[in-house]
Amino acid sequence: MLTKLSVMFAVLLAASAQAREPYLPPSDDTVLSVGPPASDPRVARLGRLRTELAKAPEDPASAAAFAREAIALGRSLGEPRYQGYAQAALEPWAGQPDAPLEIQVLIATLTQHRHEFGQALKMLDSVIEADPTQAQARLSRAVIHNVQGRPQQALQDCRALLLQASALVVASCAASASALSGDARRAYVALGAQLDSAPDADPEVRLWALTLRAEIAERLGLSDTENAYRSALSAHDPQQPDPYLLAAFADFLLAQGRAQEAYDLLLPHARLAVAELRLAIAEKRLGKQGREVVARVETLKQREEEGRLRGDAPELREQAMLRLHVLNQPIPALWLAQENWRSQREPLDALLLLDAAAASGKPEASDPVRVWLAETGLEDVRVESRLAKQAS
Amino acid sequence: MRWAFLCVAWLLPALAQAHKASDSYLRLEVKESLVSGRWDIGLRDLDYALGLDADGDGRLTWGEVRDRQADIQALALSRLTIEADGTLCRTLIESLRIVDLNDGAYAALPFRSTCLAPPRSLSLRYDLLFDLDPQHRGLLRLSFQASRSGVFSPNRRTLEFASGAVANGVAFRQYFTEGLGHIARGLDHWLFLIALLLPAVLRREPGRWVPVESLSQGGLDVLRIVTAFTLAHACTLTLASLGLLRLPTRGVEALVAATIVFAALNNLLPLVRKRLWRLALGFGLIHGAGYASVLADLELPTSTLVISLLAFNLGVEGAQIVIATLFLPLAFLFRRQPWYQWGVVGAGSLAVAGFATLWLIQRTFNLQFGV
Repeated sequence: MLTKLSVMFAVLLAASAQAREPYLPPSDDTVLSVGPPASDPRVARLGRLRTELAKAPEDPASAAAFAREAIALGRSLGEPRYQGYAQAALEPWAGQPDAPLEIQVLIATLTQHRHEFGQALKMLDSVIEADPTQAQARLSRAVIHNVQGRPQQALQDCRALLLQASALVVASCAASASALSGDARRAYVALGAQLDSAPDADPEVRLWALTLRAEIAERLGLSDTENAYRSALSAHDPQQPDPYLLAAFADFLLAQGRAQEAYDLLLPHARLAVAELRLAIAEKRLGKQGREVVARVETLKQREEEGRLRGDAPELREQAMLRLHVLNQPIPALWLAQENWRSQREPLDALLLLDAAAASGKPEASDPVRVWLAETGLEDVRVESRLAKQAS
Repeated sequence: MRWAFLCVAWLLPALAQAHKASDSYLRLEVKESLVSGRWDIGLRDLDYALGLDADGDGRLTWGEVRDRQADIQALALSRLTIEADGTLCRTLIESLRIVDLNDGAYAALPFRSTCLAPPRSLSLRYDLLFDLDPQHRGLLRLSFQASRSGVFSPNRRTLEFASGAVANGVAFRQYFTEGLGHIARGLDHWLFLIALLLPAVLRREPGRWVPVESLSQGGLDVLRIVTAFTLAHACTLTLASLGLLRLPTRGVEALVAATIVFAALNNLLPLVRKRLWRLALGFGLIHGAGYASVLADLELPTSTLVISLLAFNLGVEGAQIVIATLFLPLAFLFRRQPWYQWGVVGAGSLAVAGFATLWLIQRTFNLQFGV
């Protein structure tokens, strides 16, 4: 084990050996790190909550408030450290089955973000059983069901939200589920209507709804897809786009063969890992060469190695994408895509599996997707066209 | 009706990690009683722990970091403990610099830790940031006789390493025993030895064996054979263990088998009659090369290698002498008996030749017979 670690670490260090020498910055004004200013309301809020939490670390309300804020800020910045901070706040209740429900939901959320879906589901199940009115838990559970390809169960949870959440939230929840189970067109229309009638809804909720609408449009192959993505992006600060939305739009552009536009879209946000991966894909498609291109691929590989060293759960989808679209290793990509399919079944995962199967020359590897498609009734022109191409 | 405030922003779980999670990099090197190295800690992490951004504009400048250098050093010092053989080493953190890693700027903290004596075992305890971020990890690279590595996490805050260097006296004993054990366990070595020793009390002449007249004569012969063998194999063993002689293992092992066949057949049809010790010398060279892979696997630190080799060879020689001493008187006693001459020596040599031939085939063609 240690030998293996040594080798991996040696690889790591070799890769980072180039220009990793410490230096003395030229002047006191040299900027070393940039983040949101203290005046940013979210940062200020988090700071206040942190101070209050420090005074009463065992107070569930303070801990929950801080954790919630940290998770939200971390997501919008694309900075996973905040999840660690949230986890620290919740540590006093880790592993306690009788912790306050809102704490349990937050712990489940963090678990979900680490892709430990089974564990997260168990926690959410027990919370909802203890209190069926826990709307947050229901929403989270619906999302997990969606991610894992169980839209019918997701829909059940969405329905239970009817009297507990705003119309837009319920509509979005329902749309995401029904779009995965054959009712995509109706969901798309309904979602659009809800968005129009709730211009003042919570911006985060609107972001979610707009992103969803764009994704559904893409699955249906609607000509309106690009507009949908752009209006979702413009609903928020262009300097700090939502990383998930950014990635989704970039994927759309790449799928349309518009690699240069994807590249231009992502470059200003290259520090985000979702952007980095897709930049590497765009660079590959555009045939770009050069030190930066090589460095980017090395960084991505290094991240994987470090993730392994740290003992984090592997990001199978991203690893498969890297091998399939950048490193030109279709067989490992297929294996990873198949492993990924066991825990994630979104349309993106299906596409990945299909593409990897085609690239490896193993059409039979697409069968699980075929079966899943029939079971869920998903409408996705991209999936359907690939399956049709294979059948021919 | 009030809608429950719901956080939907962070519902989408499929988001890959955007930036990288929090890691620090700890590089250590042990030289004599000094443990020195560098600890790279993310500025983002230090900012969260200590609040480095004095003017709150979100831009962390070198001036702001330098102003808090003492606090940074104190934090690091309080979160890392180095112990050598159970005693605390005194750690000093020197003035920090900056290093740019893939995901941003890190504070590079050079440090020196002085222990009482060159450590035989090292214990490292790491507590940085775990109270603020349980997903933080400390990635360790340590040079302590050999390259080691490890990962510090909230559930694994202490890592221990042993030097692997052994005191000379201990090494001698260890490898002498290894040498003894090698003979005792090495079936092919046994057989070779026996094949050589069987006729020690006899002399093969056409159609019959002539028993030697005196034990001392036989004994002297045996001693010559055994010593020649040991000297020769010590030679090649040493050269191979030091990496000065590289031979393909499979080839050598096949040759070893061949020598056994030869030795056994030589008892039946004298191919070499006089000065068997020269045969033993030649074969010893081959057997020695065969042992080299054994020692290589033990991964000896170079400093102990010479002692270990000496001890190993003496062990081998010792075992051989023991076997010979046990065997010789018995053989001498029965040397005139036909059952000894034809049974033990004759049939025995045949059997040895048979086994060795099987091994020869096995090793040449890389087959498995379950022998």
